[in-house]
Amino acid sequence: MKHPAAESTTVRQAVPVADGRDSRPEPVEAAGRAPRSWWRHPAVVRTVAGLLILVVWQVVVEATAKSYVTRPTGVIKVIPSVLTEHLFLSDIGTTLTAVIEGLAMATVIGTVVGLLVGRLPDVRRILGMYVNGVYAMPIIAVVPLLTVWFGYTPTARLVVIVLEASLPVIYNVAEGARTVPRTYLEVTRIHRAPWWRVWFGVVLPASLPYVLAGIDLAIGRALIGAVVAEFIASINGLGYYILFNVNSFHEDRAIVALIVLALFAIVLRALVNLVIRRVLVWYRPV
Amino acid sequence: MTSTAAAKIQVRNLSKAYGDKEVFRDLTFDVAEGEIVSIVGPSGCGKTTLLRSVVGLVNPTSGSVAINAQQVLEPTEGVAMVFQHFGLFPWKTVAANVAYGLTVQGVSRRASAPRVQELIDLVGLQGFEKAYPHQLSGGMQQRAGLARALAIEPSVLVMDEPFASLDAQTRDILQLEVLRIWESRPTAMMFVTHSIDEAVLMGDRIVILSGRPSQIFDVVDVNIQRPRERSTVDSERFRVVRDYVWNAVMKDTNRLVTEPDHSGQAASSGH
Amino acid sequence: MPRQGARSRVHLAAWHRVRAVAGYTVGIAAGVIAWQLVGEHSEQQIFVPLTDTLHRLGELISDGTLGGALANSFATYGVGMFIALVVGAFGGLLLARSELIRTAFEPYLTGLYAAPMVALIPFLLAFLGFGFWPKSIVVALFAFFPVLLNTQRGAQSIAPELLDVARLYHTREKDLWIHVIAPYTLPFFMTGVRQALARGLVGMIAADIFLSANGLGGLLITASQFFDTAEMLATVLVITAAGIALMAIGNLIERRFARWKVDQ
Repeated sequence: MKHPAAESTTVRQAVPVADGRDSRPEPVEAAGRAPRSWWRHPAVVRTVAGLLILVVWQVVVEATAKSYVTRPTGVIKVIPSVLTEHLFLSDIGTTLTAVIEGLAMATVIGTVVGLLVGRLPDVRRILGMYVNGVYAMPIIAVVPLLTVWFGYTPTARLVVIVLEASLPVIYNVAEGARTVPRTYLEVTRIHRAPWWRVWFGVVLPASLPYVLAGIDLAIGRALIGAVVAEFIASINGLGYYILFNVNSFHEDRAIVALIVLALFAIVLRALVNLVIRRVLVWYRPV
Repeated sequence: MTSTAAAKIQVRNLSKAYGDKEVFRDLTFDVAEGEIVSIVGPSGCGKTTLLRSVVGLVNPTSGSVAINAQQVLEPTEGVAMVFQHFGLFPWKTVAANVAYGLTVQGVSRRASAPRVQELIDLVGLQGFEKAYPHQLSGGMQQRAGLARALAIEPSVLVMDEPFASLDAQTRDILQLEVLRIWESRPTAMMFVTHSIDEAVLMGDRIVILSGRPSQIFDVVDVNIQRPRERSTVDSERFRVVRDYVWNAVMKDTNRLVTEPDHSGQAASSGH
Repeated sequence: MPRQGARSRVHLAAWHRVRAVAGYTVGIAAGVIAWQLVGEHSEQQIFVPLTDTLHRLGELISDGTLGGALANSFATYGVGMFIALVVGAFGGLLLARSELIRTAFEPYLTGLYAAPMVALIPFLLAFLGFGFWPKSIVVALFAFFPVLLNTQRGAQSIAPELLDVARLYHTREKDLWIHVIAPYTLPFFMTGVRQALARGLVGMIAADIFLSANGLGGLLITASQFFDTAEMLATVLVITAAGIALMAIGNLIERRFARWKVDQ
């Protein structure tokens, strides 16, 4: 079963390089340079760039678009009232709880399926085509159908999240299970360990870095699933908050929600990557 | 020395092929109680495959292996192995790794603790019981691997190029360490290595493989007294044996198809 | 080797092949049977059997609905992908080449990438409207990031020795780009293309659903409004097939150019 790994390159990069796709080699030009002028300092440059973006945004919108289209000044004005709005805060809670629940379920399901598919060629041949199919299909295409089955309820959103988030876990765990170092398995065979000791005592722990790498990638997909479900099924949450406010000409409020969504993704991934870094210390090859 | 009734490991006409590719053919030799037999040969001669066939990790194409007079079809009781890449589980402590063989047999942690501690002390890892493999050097990990192998009180011990992943100094140290530990409890041992010096230093007898497919070129009695030391490598006998083996391994033996050639030089041979 | 050994080796190989084929067959058969059975034992609005789905698919093809939808969808897809590839490639090269720009904009790009793209759609809809070009922009937005990131990573990872060699021969900047940087970066760009193909499809369906619904996504919406489960399932099948096809094409493209890729 091929292993596409959507947002990032393969787990072989995610596992040894704990920062995942955000890790980049040092730029060539920086090597051995004289101390840079103060205005080249990252903090300065980034602030300037940020201001530039805001200015361009403001100017373009003012000049070309209608009054309800969001602009920086509008967003800033609205931030205090949004952050204290009861509905907003409860929507944060709803969506984020759903995402975390979904991630937890996806981890379990993904690990089990991944282990089976990775180590048992028969299972891989039978299930592989379906896993690939679900992976290739934009989840948004089945949400209407899911709402027919589960109604316009939080359950539908949870199903979407679990579907979306399981896939990277399955692929990564399958890769990990398939590549359990031969020596470990020989140790179990020499000691004539029973099958459950092999699976739970060796295959599963050996796949732990891959489970984590899968979760790292699953976070983004889980958020997408949550937003898509809320959009289509009008389920209360941050996504629906965005839709509702855009449609009622309160785009500035919606931007705040968007920023919270992005922040949530960044924080969650940072947490997972922290765990990955600590766990990888165990697995660093000798 | 080699009365078959006493032999712990009996290899008879062992052959292994993968598809059309024959790795080794018609190997026959014994490993007796309390004896170390070194297996040596050029790269790709299948010594690792041979070792795995002996312990039952790989099934031979023909021929048989018997350990303790029981035919080996899969890994059997009382056989322990030390691996080239150590094979310690990174998520277990040293103590847990050493205890693994006993844990698998259902022995509780408390019951196995004294034996585990005794072995950790024996291999020189006192103080590292709660350490994790990533905190240990290669040499220390291999010591732990040895302790794990000894924990199950094996009747047969096999080592698969155990020092190949270590630097030269660690290798020298561990060779003598392993011999010291082995002396305290001599077990029938099959020792595979690509280093001829190592084979002579460690072994009581040396099985020399050569040719394609590999066959036994000769089996050499090392005949050097134990305990062996660093100075052993300077002895006359060592040099004689080592040169013989070296020539045997290096020379072109494509003509070797059926009978091994008894060149009968300075070393005597035994089957 | 005794002949018996040779024969049993052949038997072993044949058994493995039979087992492999059996695995795939069981997989397909199980899916087909399950679809059929579940369909027959559910209400029409919930699920329909495979046979009904395929029948409906046939109808959609013969009356031209599917053809029209595909044409509309992939028109926006093509334009959007083109924009994404061009902008992504140039952006990636720019980021790789200029440390200043890279440092300056990196946090904002990371932030934008972290936000679920779908969440941006309502804004785009309000800002740009319904038509063909807004939909293409949505596709481009979804597809652009993998191209950007991969191209940047590729261009950035050129071993300094290669650049030094070029400079040693007094290569002009323009030629540096043509003869060193572009060929080196190309395989990475192709990896980005592979990932972008899949994400662009998501954008395409999303654009169909939220902006003007005249493509595959539109079929989906209409079908769900009329509770026509057969049509919904048929459309999902087509979309999945498109997804699988794009995945295969992406893999082929990436592999074709991976030959001289320098692994990190």
